[in-house]
Amino acid sequence: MIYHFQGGAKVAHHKHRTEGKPIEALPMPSRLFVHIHQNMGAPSKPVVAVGDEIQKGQLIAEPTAFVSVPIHAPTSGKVVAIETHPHPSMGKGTAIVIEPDGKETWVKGKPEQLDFRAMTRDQILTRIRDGGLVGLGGATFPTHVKLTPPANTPVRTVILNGAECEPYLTSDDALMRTRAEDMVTGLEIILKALGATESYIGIEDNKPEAIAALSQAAKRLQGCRVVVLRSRYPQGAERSMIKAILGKWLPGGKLPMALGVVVQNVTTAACITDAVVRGIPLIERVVTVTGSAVNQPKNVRVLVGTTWADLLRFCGGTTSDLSRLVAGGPMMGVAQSSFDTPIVKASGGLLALSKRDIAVPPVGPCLRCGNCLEACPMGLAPFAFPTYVRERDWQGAKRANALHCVECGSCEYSCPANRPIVHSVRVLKKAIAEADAKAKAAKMETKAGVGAA
Amino acid sequence: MADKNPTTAANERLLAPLLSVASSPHIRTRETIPRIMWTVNATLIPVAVWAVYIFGWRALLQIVVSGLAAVITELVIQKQRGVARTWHDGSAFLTGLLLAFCIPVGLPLWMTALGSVFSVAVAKHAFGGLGQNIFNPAHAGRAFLLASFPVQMTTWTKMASLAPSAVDGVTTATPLGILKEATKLGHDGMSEVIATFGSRQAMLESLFLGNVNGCIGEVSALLIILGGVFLIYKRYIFWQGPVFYLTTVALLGWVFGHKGLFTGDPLFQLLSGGLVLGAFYMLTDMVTSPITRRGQIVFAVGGGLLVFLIRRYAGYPEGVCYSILLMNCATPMIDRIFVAQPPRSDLSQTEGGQA
Repeated sequence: MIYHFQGGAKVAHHKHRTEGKPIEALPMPSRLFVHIHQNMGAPSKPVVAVGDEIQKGQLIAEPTAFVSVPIHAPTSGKVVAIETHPHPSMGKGTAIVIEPDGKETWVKGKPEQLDFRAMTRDQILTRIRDGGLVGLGGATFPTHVKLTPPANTPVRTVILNGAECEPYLTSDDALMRTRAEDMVTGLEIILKALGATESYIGIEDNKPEAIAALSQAAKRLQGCRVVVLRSRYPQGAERSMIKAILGKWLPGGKLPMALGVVVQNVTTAACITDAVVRGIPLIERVVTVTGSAVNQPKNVRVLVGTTWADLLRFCGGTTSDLSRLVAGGPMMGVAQSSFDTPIVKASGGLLALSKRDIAVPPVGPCLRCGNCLEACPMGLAPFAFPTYVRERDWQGAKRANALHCVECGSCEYSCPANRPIVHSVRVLKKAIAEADAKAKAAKMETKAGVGAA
Repeated sequence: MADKNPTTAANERLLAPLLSVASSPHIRTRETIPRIMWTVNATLIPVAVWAVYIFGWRALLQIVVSGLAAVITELVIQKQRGVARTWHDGSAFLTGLLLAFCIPVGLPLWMTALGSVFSVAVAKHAFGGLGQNIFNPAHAGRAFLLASFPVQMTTWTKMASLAPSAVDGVTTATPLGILKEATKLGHDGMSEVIATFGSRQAMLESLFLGNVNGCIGEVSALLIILGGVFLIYKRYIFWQGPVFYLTTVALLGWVFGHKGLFTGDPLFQLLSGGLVLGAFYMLTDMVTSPITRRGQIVFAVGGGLLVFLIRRYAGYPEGVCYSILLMNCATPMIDRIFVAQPPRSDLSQTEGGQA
């Protein structure tokens, strides 16, 4: 049986620069810039003030809503400022600036060790939430929310996502090779929290060592299967993953829970083990620093809040033909405008791309070649989206399911005319939301008017 | 803020002149419009070489005149319109090349040039240029020439062939032409066609390998199929178009033969005329054919039906050109009906009413 999904694009992997390289730890930076908004949902609220001495793992910002997570001090030191700072995906945001003291003293001494098997479901969820966990595949959805399905939608199946289909990135791969045990333990914790029994670990076939490591580690977990997936972008997209492993298609606009499924990234699972069993909150992560414009590509373990500048310097600096800096992978990552931008929990990669890597010939007319339709994993007609923007036809775009687009970039990657498809979708989504809000407001006004009369 | 920040000073050493910022994705396929167009042109080189071998140097002259006229027309129009100059992207040359492939080798050169100018100026640029045209430019040019110069467009003179066995300078008819004329007179057309070759086997061999009279690019089905298979392998065209088009023509030609039901010769129908060239190179034109595979099936079956009707019942011996031009009109409608489809939802069967 071949595990596959509809559409997708055959994208060159570019993983060779850091594939199989050990994870190196970054020396303590001189400053850390910890953003208070690192998750999908509401930002957190700082609970420290400028001048405070803080310790490693100490809560420095608390959640403000259910879909929000706490943020912890990545190291011990002093809060020197709380100020606006560049954010890797949101432009700008408030960051707590920490000057490390280099002592790495943990809050409350050594973190406590616990057996998750003796814990209740609520205790597990509380520890996950208190650990500040978010989905580390890139979406940064708070983990405790994902593990709290409504009572009427039981979850039977958990899929650990180890596809890492984004080209260039190898951070998940590096962790799968070294932390397979913790990932399986994390999976056990997730299963327990959800009351689910069936589980799969999906890994693309271009990572044989990760497959071997996880197959070995997963032996002890009953009802768990490691599934080798065909390498094809975007295999790691939630829907593509579910389709490939379970053969079921989740339509746009629905959550995997509707199918009784929860998908979690493998690195998130390892961090769940850290949080639940060891009491270590999410304060560091592995970042793949790579691309043809960085001198020594590496997989680096860094504290949240470390700037790109510190990371790049550790990797031998950039070459003179650096043209674009991307946080994340080349297909969905965000182009960076500053070296002072710090990593957030979701930053799995930093790409230094040269002009040659990103060189795009001028935009041409749509040839109607159909490559974008063939590549779209959602079964949309991407070629039409730039036209909807040009004609400002928001309703038409909505009917064409522009809102279902996951912005994976397969269409634009495949386009021989370099049409700006994904950018058009972003414009459309914003315009549709604004038009809908306007329509709603107008409706309310009419209602109020009728009521007053 | 910058002066407070100790990392800023270090940035100078990170050697970035300026960071370019753009929406994702940040990498692209290496396929470009020129690459696709020139590849399609390249797959036609074997056909062109064989045509020159069969028809002589005049075939090459026709190709050069048609190609150059197309490229020059595109350059002049793009200059006049003030749009991006993409005359060298291979698409105009492809139009010229394909037009040269569907005219008789003896056509006066000025007519060839005129047809090529019509293809690019009227069929392509009057509609807005590449990607906007409704009709296949090469076939529109051929239809224009056929309407304007019906005699010259149907005069099949064997020119100074480079092939040793060929007879020079004799006016002959095409197999489809013989079939049409004989059938009109109430004769057994198929027998007359076969008689000109000696046997059915010899006829099919000649048709397949390319030793028959007709248009420049109709000489060898084999070479055209090889080029077409390469295009399918490169994913420049979908296999559905040619397969359904050819199958429809063969099936209908076989079932509704001249001597009653199931008496037709499907292989003769397939290999004669411009059918194979049309199936792989004109029917599959990205711009003028439906964008989905399902749409292309409908398009191809419709085209095949029209070829059969024209060949069997209409005044012309051959119907490939008109079948494709007529189906081109239907492309927007087909695209409207056969839109992209998301995979079928699996929610209901697992979720009951909750989905």
